[in-house]
Amino acid sequence: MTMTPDNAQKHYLLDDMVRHVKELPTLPAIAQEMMSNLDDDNASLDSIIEKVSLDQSLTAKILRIANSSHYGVNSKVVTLQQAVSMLGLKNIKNLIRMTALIQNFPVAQCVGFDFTAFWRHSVSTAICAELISRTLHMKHDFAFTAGLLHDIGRLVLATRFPTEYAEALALRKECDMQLLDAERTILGTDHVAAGHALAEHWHFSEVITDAIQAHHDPQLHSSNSLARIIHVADAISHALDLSQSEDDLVPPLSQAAWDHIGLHEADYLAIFHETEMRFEAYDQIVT
Amino acid sequence: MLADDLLDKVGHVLLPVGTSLTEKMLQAISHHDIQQLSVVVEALSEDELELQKQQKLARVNHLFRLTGDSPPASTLKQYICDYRSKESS
Repeated sequence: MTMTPDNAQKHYLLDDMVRHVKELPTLPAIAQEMMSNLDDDNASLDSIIEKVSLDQSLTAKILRIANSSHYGVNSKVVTLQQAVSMLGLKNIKNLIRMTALIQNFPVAQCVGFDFTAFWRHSVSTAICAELISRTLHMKHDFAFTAGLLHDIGRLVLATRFPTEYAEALALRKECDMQLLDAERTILGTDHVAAGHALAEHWHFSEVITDAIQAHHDPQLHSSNSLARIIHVADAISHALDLSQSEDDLVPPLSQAAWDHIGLHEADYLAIFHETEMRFEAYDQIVT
Repeated sequence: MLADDLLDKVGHVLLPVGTSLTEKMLQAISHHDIQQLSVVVEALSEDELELQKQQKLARVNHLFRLTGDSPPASTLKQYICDYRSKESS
């Protein structure tokens, strides 16, 4: 293939993106632990409380969640110990993952990037993926994390290429096209490639890395059930309008992924309802 | 609408039972550290429910505007429409 000036520019950007990904900060130790050791349920509550208590912002968020109406408590939760006991280890781990990621990506310089909508979408996809996974009797801790991280490449592009990514967002809006197409037109790459590069750099577990890479094309890792679940949960999150973004779009849905999951309408209606209910509580972290 | 008197810490009535809460009132009472209040949700009329349902379905159509008639997307869209319709009935 002849390298046109346009192609040369795009290839430069792709290389640049990978280089920039390598320059990203390492995750705080506690988040690194939560991201890579998903199977490790042995971490004691006490050791997690001890680590969390060193982070004021995380402590405040956990207390806010514990005091939210979703958990239906009448008396106020005032200590981290009470909050952790109430929310449970799994929810605490998820909060740590979310907070660590939010703190690592300052996206303010990217015009048009709606950070709140981004997180609403990530959190709702995570919740929905966990519920699908639970309905299918699969291990659902992976599903939540993969759902939370599936669009992480968007943060990479918005923080490392704010000008170009702002152009891609403007093009998407102006032409009312899918985000993936707008990213490829302007940057010559997309958030899937960026997310995959970051996942490898941060040593996410293989199953999560594959799910990030295949969330728009679940056939890419056809043996990875999690990728199919994230693909469908992503579409449901858009369809339920949970990002509250005015010009949101449901992305194309894979027939193979849909068929493989094979749930009935009654299952989906229950999943829609519970996703919305649980999302209200998590939404407080974002807003 | 308030289902009961809303009291402050020492028992003074901040807002009496039956008050229809407005944005302004919620702001005004926000510094009173209120833990809970009981409300009665006023039922919508049939016309209002129908209007609400049509607005929700129009929004679903907007969100699915680029998916075309592909089978899984149209099935998902139908499920979402069923879900939104039940919410408004």
